[in-house]
Parts: sequence; structure tokens; C-alpha cells
Amino acid sequence: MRKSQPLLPNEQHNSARLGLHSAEGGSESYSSESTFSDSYTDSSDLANWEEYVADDGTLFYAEYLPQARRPLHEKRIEFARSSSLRMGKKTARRQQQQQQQQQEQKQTSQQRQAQQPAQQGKAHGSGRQAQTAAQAPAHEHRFSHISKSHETPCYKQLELVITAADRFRFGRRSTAVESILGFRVVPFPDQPECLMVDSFVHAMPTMLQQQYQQQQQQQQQQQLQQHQTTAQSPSETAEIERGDWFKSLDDIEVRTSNVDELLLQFVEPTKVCLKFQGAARQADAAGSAAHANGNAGAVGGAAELQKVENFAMFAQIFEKLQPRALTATVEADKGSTAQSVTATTDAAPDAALPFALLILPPECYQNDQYKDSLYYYPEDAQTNFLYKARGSFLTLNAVLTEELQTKPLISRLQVDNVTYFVCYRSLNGLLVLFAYAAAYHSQPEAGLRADELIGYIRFAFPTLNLENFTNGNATTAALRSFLHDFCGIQRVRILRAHRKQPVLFEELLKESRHMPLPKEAQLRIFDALSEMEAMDYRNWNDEPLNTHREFFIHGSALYYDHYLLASQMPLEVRASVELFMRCRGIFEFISEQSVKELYVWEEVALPQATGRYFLTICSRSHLILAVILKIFDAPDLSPDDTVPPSLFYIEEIQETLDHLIQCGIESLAIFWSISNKRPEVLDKVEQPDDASAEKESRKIENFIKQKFSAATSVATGGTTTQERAGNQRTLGFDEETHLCSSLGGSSIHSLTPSEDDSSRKRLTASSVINATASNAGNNEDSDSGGSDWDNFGEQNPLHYGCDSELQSPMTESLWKEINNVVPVKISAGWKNAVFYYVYVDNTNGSVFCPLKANSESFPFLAEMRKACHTIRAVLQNTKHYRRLLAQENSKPAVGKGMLAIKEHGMTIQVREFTDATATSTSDAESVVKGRFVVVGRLFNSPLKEVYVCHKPDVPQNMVEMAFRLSFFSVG
Amino acid sequence: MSIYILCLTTNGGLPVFTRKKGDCDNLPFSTVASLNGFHMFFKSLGITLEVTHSEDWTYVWRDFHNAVTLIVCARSMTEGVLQTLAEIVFGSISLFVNIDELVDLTLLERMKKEARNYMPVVDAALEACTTRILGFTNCVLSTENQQLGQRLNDFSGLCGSLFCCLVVGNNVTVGTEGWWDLDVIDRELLLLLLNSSSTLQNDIPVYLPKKDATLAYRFVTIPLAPSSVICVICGAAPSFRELRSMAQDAFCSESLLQNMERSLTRSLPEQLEIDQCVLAIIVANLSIKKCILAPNSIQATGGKRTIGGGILRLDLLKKIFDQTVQYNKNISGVHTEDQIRSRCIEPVDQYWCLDYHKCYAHYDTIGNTIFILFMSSVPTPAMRFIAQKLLYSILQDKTISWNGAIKLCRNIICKIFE
Repeated sequence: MRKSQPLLPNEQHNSARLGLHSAEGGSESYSSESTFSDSYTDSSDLANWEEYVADDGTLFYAEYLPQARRPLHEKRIEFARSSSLRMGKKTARRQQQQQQQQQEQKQTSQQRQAQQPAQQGKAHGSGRQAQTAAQAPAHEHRFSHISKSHETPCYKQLELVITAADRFRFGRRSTAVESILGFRVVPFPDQPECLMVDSFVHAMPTMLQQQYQQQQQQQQQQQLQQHQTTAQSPSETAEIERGDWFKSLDDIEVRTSNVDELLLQFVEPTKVCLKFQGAARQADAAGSAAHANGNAGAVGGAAELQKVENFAMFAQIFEKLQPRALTATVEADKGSTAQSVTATTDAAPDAALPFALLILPPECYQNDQYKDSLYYYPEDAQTNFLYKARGSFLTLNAVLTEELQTKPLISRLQVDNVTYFVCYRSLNGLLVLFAYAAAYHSQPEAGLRADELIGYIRFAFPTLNLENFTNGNATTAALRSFLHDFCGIQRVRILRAHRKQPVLFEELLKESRHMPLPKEAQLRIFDALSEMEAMDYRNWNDEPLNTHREFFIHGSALYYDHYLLASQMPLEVRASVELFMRCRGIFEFISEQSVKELYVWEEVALPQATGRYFLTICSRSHLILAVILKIFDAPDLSPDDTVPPSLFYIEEIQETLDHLIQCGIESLAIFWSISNKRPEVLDKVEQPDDASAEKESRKIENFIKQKFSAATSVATGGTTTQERAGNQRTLGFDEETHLCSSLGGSSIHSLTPSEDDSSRKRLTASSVINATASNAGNNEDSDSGGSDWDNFGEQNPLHYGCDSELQSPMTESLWKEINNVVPVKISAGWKNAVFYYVYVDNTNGSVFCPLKANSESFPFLAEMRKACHTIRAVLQNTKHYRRLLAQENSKPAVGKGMLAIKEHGMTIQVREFTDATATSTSDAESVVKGRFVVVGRLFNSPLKEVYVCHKPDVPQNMVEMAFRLSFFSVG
Repeated sequence: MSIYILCLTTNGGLPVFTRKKGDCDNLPFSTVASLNGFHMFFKSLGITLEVTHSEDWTYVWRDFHNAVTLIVCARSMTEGVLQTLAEIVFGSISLFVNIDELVDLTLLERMKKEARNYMPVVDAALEACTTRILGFTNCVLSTENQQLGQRLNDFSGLCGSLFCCLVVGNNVTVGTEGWWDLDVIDRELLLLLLNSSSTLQNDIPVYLPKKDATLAYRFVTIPLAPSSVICVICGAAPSFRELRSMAQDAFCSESLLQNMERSLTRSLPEQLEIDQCVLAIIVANLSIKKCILAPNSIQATGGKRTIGGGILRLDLLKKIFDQTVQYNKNISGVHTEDQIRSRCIEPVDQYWCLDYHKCYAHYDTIGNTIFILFMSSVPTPAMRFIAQKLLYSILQDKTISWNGAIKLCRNIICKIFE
């Protein structure tokens, strides 16, 4: 990796630099003998973003594979660029890539072939070069042959029931894929992270083909179904065959590094959907042609890459990038017809006006000349009620602020019978109003959203003032168009969030969501980040004598989708960076689309900091690395100079990302985010009546267990608990045997036949995890095979015998090191009772919450969210009160009507009406769907809030224990 | 706590009256004008400004019948209470001014003329903001309630009025079914009217704004004992003299009322056993809007200091109650998931831990709820037990006859359902 770079042989380095100083047109002479190739996954990965740098030095560039199928043929342009860019500093891989491209164009394939061995020899060891493929036998299956273009998809889909119990049915030496799925896979020679179908166990292909007829003849509980789903597929062959790309399992991307642990999760027989992609029949000719000229095939494969060249373009297509948001728009319109008949008659698609913004200068209402100086969104004076009533808002704000000495925060008002919340925020003397339709956001949510946006605007335009709008020059226009794009993104974000019911409570908090990876992984991340930050970059300067760095790295933060993995930034800076990524829609973009690369470069102003800072965001697939660079204060640098993106720093960041992906951080994060283990939550809510019935029988069976009836009096409370604890210990063995067959957290002995297979499977898995967690002390291996942690070490992804060399040793050691991680359960007792938790660490600005939360797992998320908001409102009051108390040193106490509530809990019952029209409070038709308890607690020092949602029938001391959550934070 | 009430005519923006309570200065006229001004201007654009929250103030704008605009501003009070207050203030005007007159051009003069009638009610309402639970009819429970109820029903039959109630020291002990059928605003207004009048013996012509704002009724109150009054809503007949003799016949045995008045101090029957760790109790029925607000007198017997403490505690509990009613309103909005299914969520129980107190609320399925303020030393699981026990002992005691209300509540539900 990068570590090798500073250790370059000196003379070579010098010659390289000399060569660059002399040769303007290109650096062919040296780059062909460069040794840098070993750190690049493949050269076609590098995006050519340089030409998209805007005049002011900012960059917003992304390449992605569109998820929604669109017949867009955007040819990736080959750049025959001269190396006039800033390439004089380092023999970067960019140059090498350019070099290769130039070579591709200029040189004949023979020349190229001749050149290959030289590179090959030097690149030896990593084995991840696309170039290696060029030397492979021509008949071999290649990843580059896989048709990835959308007009000729060769998708194949296979549904089957798998179980990890089959793991060793072909003996211990078989791979997991082989024994569980029934075919063998090998990595593609040219893309080792992707798996290729290699061969089949038994006469599998025929079986697969004749699936429909032979469903009864499944071997060892394997029910294989095959569906030809792709009607558009030109090939009539639907069977899986050798050379197909094993693409995904239940929409989880399958890679060499994650396939094993993925499969082992299926403890109980579960129906899964495998997706394959085959080589295009029609592309065969092209494919063979591709053999001839090296990695042209790979370039062809990338032809479908979509590009985003700047932020404006991003904003334009942002809605299209959110397939779910599109449908939401339609539905929102439908929904709003009921509420706002008059509003929807307008032709505007966003008649319900989910979001509106207005920036007002304070003088507006007195002075007519500033009438045009404000910005409003949507930019339609007729539909934008904020703009229409701007004078009133301004007066309201002025009167309340100046005459009544209270700052208005939020107003509720009705426009054409549609309720809106309008939030008031001030910005350098300007008044900024945000309006949210009540159909999309409740009042507390609107407030949080407004805080988010104003926070970003403050960060992005710290000096925004009246002149910025009134100049009438290019900057004004740029600002306006930026605001337009920005607001457009907010609108889509709201629609998307609305569609993705429910908006998660923790999503809106200003603290960033944190994914606590195992400590070992965190250490690796920190190592990588520190190394990147500490790197001595002085070799890369133009002048070797002037040995200062071009930039200092001020801080960096690593994200996986929207989860923070690690941060080495000051807290407030990270908060700003997070706001940047939230408000610019980057998180949505990354998590929704398979983004290949993303580069953002923008100058930012940090509060209380001198010097110029640049925010750089690089992303590769789902990992995002945000870095703040501080430019060296060179005397010749005038403060108004535009600083374009630094090629080398961006590449360095990109390499760090590559390194992190290589050593398995990304796959670990993927795995972590889909596994419900960290700490785990219940993912099934039983019907309350079932539960109570069960409760009764359970009581008779074993009254000691978990039953802390409401009638237990105070006096006996304590002793019962202790007694119970003691009994539980003695019952340890008994429980264990029970647990192996139990149905997870809901019930102990019953094997209710009505429960569907999948949920039973999941629940058993989780309960076994519980068992391991609670029995961690006696170190007994639960050999039910349920916990994928048990066999983690021996079943690491390196099971691909011959290919183990392809795996970096780093990945291997990482897997080894984390295999002794025991999942943490957060409720006390041996049974999990926690549905959901949100842990807000105000001092560190982070939020822990279940990583895998969807409405299927816990159907009352929307209700819980409301409860959380209520509790939060109560706790916020307390915080406010405590702040006042600290300030005044007097006792405002009850006189000011403040309640210092530090803990608030509520049991909530959800009733469902079968008929939407009969929503009166009559309980005749309603069915109680479920009950849960939400508890929120405020801790004073350090300041943090904990929200726990748990089962209602667990006693209070369980809840107390649930607050154990606050005791672990890392790893 | 500080409250301003600004009353203006909707069309002209002319101030009718302003009232304030608490530690706050008088608002200058210009501020009043601008508070009304932007509301008016919003309206001209088809925008209705409903409420604005600032850091600790809440501003509520309400238009009534497009004739009267009320602006209520208050610090550290929930929006729900302010909305109720606005309704009561407007109701107090319409107790004396016919709704038809409200649209009249001479409204301002009429309102000024009636001011001496309704201003005491407004002031009483302001006072009640702090001492009572606004929007709920405050009651007193005693073991004599059942017998009193029977006599009241007899009396109601005798005088031919469905709307009778027995008031002991500003709190209702028993009422007829018709009385509980009245809107809570009407009930509150009548009690406030009684409260603000100088004598206990009244015969006042009133309009009931929620029931029928155009029809004038007689509101007759007849004192029976030092702090017991019987209230009757009736038409022109029978005469006051007749009513008084009927009432005195019905409630001739003084001992009942005297026993009754003894439970006034804590609004709960003396016999009811309350745990030592309970500091204050609110029992309320959320569907028919009645409540009792009771300090635990056993606790308060320590000396004079604890009596003051008792009031503070009651205040604390009242605040939690107000806040919770407000928040729960936000929570339990019906959430429609798709076309066929809709969900409603309702709390079953809630608890709060404060620095020196704990509070617990329990709800039953038919709208009854109990809020209890505890000492902080009580364990949280025990709170649930105590609260449930207390609530059910109140609900199930026939002599207290809180259940009468529940029966009624069921009737109402059935009616709605039919």
C-alpha cells in the first residue's frame, strides 16, 4: 500500500521528477516503469474529475451505476489529455492511468502486450491488477465479460431455501457456498471481489433447469425454484451456468469477503433469492474482441456509468436518484387532494408544498429597494405563501423580538386549509423562514429540520449578508442557483423521508449516528486515518527545496452510508461536515445508488480558526471519507486565490479508502449493519393477548422466571429480584436447553405453529445469541450452530483454497481478531426485551441506535417515534431549565413553571381500526395491536439522553438494566 | 406565570379590553396593534395564523364568529390551556351577548356596556388558570355523593330542569346527567359566573355559548349551607321563590351537606386510605372533562410550612397534567397507514422522575385517569401499584358515584356510535 511510496528508490524518484520537469506533454518515459501500480485496484476505477473543477475551485463529481433502469448510453469519454495539470509533484496513479489510456489509443496492442510484463512484475503481490487478466488464458471467464449494460441485461434469479445446518454436509473441507447453495464459486480473475459460478455439486445444472418439474426431488431440504424474471433478456437460457456472476443474495451484494458469514446467518431454513448475472450472448463478439486489447472490456463495462459533473446537475437529477421519492410525489399529491382541494388545482406538482424557504433582509418591510433582495423557494410568488406574507412574518418577528423580548421559534398556520409549521431562524441579521407542511412533519420534527438547514447555511455561508443578494453580479446569480438546487434537494429529501415511513427519530437529531464497529476494526480505521493525516507530503511540492506541505490535514471522518464509523475531527467541525453531507443529499445519494466514486472539494470556513480550510469528501461504494484540509500559508498565496482540488491529496484519501475497503472495513460495516446484533433488538412483536395467555401458562410452569407481577409490593420488591437472580443462576443449565429450541424473546416453550418460518428462524438465532451472551461467563460453546460468531475464525472468507493469495492478509487478520467479539445484549436477564433504543451522547455528538431498523421488524416505529419526540420535548425543557438555573444562580423553580423532569416513561397501546372511516374513539371495532414502553432518561454528567423501547411486561428493574446501554460506547 | 388577554373587534381592530395576570408589564398600545395587525394581514392573504411559540412564551390568535379576535399570550403554559382560556373568555362575553348581536355593527358599544357583567367572569377565569385545571370541571368526592345525587335527581324532576348540580365551594359534587351532557366550556362558565358573583343567591339570564347561543336561560343558584349551592338552568318557570322552597325540601337534612363539606379540604372522602408517600392526586375523566385535584391531607398535617408545600406540589402535578394532556393530544392523533387500516395510539401509563418527586399516571380504557405525585423515595414499580389501587378504589366505591359519570360516558359513546 501507500506505506511503500515514501520508500521509493531515490534515483528513480528524482528521475521521475526530472522527467516531469522536462517533459511537458507527457511522462510516458517514466510512468511505464513506475512502481506505484501495486496499490490500485484497477486503473479504470479512477474517475477523471479534473475537468469538472469549477472556476471557483470547487468540485462536485460523482460516478454511479444507476439502480433504476434507464436506457441512457453515456459513453465514457476517453481523454487524450496532455499532462498540463498539476502533475509535476508526484508520480501519481492518475498519470499512470492517463498514460495507459494514451497508450491504449496510441499504441498497438502488441506494444502493450510487451509492456505488460514489466508492470506485472512490479505489481506482483497484490494480484489485483486488471492487467493480470490480460495474461490469463483467453477462454477464461472474466468479470469484464459480464454484461452490465442495462439494455441487454442477463439477470438470473434463483429462489431457494437454505440453511446453515447444511454447512458440513459435504464434509468439513467444503466451502460454505458449496454445501449450502449447492454450487461452487471462485472469484473472477480480473475482479477478485466478485464471485463467479464455477461448478455444481451433483448434476445441479439439470436440476436447476428442470426446477419446476423436480421440485419434489430436492436433496437435503433444498427447495430450488427458478424464475426467469427478466423478460427483456435476449437470451433464452435462464439456467445458472459456469461463468455467471453471483451478484446478490436477498439484495445483499455478495462479495468474496462477505459470502461466508452471510450464508452462515441462515440458521433456520429460509427462502432466499439469489441473483446472478451472466455474460451477454450478444456481447460475445465484443467480449472476444476485448480479449485482444486488454481491459477494453472493463472500459466497455463502465460505459453505463452515470456521471454527475457538478452540484447543479446533482440537484437536478437528485429526484431521479431517489426511486422511492418519485413514487412518493405521486402519492403525496393523491393524499393532499383530500386536504387541499384548492391547492391541488394548481398545476404545480408540489401543490402540498412540502418545503418552502424565505430569506428576508431585516429592512424589507420599511424599504422598498430591497424587495428583490430576498430569496424564496419555491420560486413562484403565487404559490409561495411565505413570500406573499413576508411583511407579516417580518413584523411578527420584529414585534416579538424587540417589543416582547422573546424570539419566535415556530408558528402554526393554515393556508387553504393545509396546516404548515413555519420556523424562524436568524442568520447574520437576516431572517430565514422555513415552512414545512404538517402532513410531512410534526412540530418537533419541523424544528429539528429547520435547525439542520440553518446549521448548514451558517456553515456554508458564514458571511452571508445583504450584499450577497444585492450585488447583482455573477456571485449573486451563483448563490441563487445554489440555493435553488439546495432547496430542491431538501424538497426531495422530505418527500423521500415521508415515503420511507417513518422518519426515524434519531435521523433528525443533530447528533450523528454512530456505528460502533469492533474495537479491533476501529483501531484499524484510526490507524489508517492517522497514517493519512500524518503523512509527510513534502515530496510532492513543486520545488524540492521549499519543503513545506501543500496542505495540512485538519481532521477526517469516516462514514458508512450515514453511519459514522470513526472521526478524528473536532466535534463542532464534524457536526458541520455531517450537516454538509446531510443537507447536500450525499447520504441519500450514497445509500440509494451504487456510487462508484464521489469527489467533493469546497472551501469552508471553520469558526474560530485562521487560515483557509477545504472540505474534501471522497467516496467509494458505501464508504465516505471526509477530510478537512488546511492550506499552508504560503506568502505568495493571496487570500482571494482559488485553490483547485489537490490531485494528490484526493488520491491519498482515495487510497486510504481503498485500503480500508481492502482490509475489510466496508464488508464488516455491511455485515454489521444488516445483522441485528450490536446490540440486538427484538424484531417481533407478539399480539398482546397471546402474550398474556402465554404468561399465564408460563407462570404455572415456572413462576420464578421473569415474572414480576404488578402486584408485587414495594417491600418484597428488592428481595424478589435477588431471589430471582439467584434462581436464574441455578436454572442456568435448564434455560440453556430450553433456549436451543426456544422462540427467541417472545415465548419460552411454545412452538406456535402459526408463526411463519422466517420469523422463527430469526428469533431462534437471536435467542441463541442471547444465550451466548448470558453464558459468556461459563464459556460454554453453544453448538447449535446458531451463532455465526462461534465459527467465525475458522470460516473466514479465505475458504477459497487456491484464491487465498488474492485476499489481503490484513483482511484475514482482521476477521481473526474480531472473532471473539461477543454480541452485547442490553437488557438484563437472559431474555431480550428491548425493541429499540436510541442513545444520544450530547458530549460526543453521536447517536447509537439499532442499525437495522425497519417497519417490518418493529411495526410501531411511527408510534414509538412520536413517543420519543414527546419525551424529548419534556427532557429538552429540563435541559433548558438547568441551563437557566446555572446561569441565574437564583431559583426560578416552579415560579417560572419549569419542570425538571429527568426521566419520563410511558406505556403505549396501539389500536388498529379495521375501517378508516370509523376512526371515532369507539373501541368497538378496534383491535389492540400491541403495547410497548418507551422510556427516556436524561443524564447530567456527561450530558446524554437514552431512549429505550421495550416490552411492557418486563419489570422496572429490567428497564434500569437497559440503561446499561449507556455504559458501553466503543467496540 | 404571566398571561395577557387581548380582546379586539375583528373588523376594526378596536380594542375591547386587555387583561393581564402575573408579573408582567402592561403592553403598549402599539404592540397590541401590531400583534393584531399581522394576524389581520395574514388573513387578507388567506393565511390563518394560529399559534406562535417562542422560547418560553406562547401566542394564540383566535377569531370568533368573525366578530371578536382574542389574542392570548402566556409564559410557561401549554397551548391547550391557552386555547381553552380563549374559548372561556369569548364564552364569558357570549354569556351576556346574543350571538346575533355579535355580527351587529354596534357590537363594540354592546360589549362595552356588558363589560361589567362579563369582566368578573374573565378575571375569575384568569384566576382559575393557576388554581384549577382549566377545561375540566373540578369536583369534590365524598361518600355522601350517592345520596346527594338521588336527591338532586328528585329535585331535578320536581323543578322540571335537566340541568342541575350541587356546588360545594366552587367544586361540583353531584350533577344530573343533563348537567354532565353540557359542554365543558358551558359548565366552566356557569361555575365561574357563580364564583365571581358577590352573593350565592342569583337569578341571572344567560346564553349558553356551546349549547345554544341564541336562547336565553335562567341561571338560578340557591344557597343550602354555608358553602353549598344548588345551581339550576331553567326557563322562565318556575319562579325563584318556588325553586328555593323545592331545594330546601329536597336537601332538608343538613347533616348530609355538613358531612359533605368536611371532605372539601382534600376533595376526596375522608375514609379513603391514601399511602403516605402520595403527595397529591388528580383524578380525571378525559371524555367528560371532569376532575378532582387533591392534595394528600395526611401529608400536609405536619405544620404550616407543609401546607404551602402542598400547594406547590399540587401546582407541580397540575403542570405535569396540563403538559401531558397537551402532549398526548399530539401523540394520539389517528395515524392512517393506508386505505383500510388506521391506528390510534393511546398511553396506558406514564411516569416522570423529577429531582425531588416522582409522578405516575395511569389511564383506563374508558377515559379515566389518575395522576399521582409521589415522594422521590418510592420505587417506580410501586407507583403503578398504588396508582391503580387508588383509582379503582375510587371508581368502584358506589357511595362516591364517580361511576355515574362512567355510565354516562358509555351512553355518550353508544350515542356517537349509533
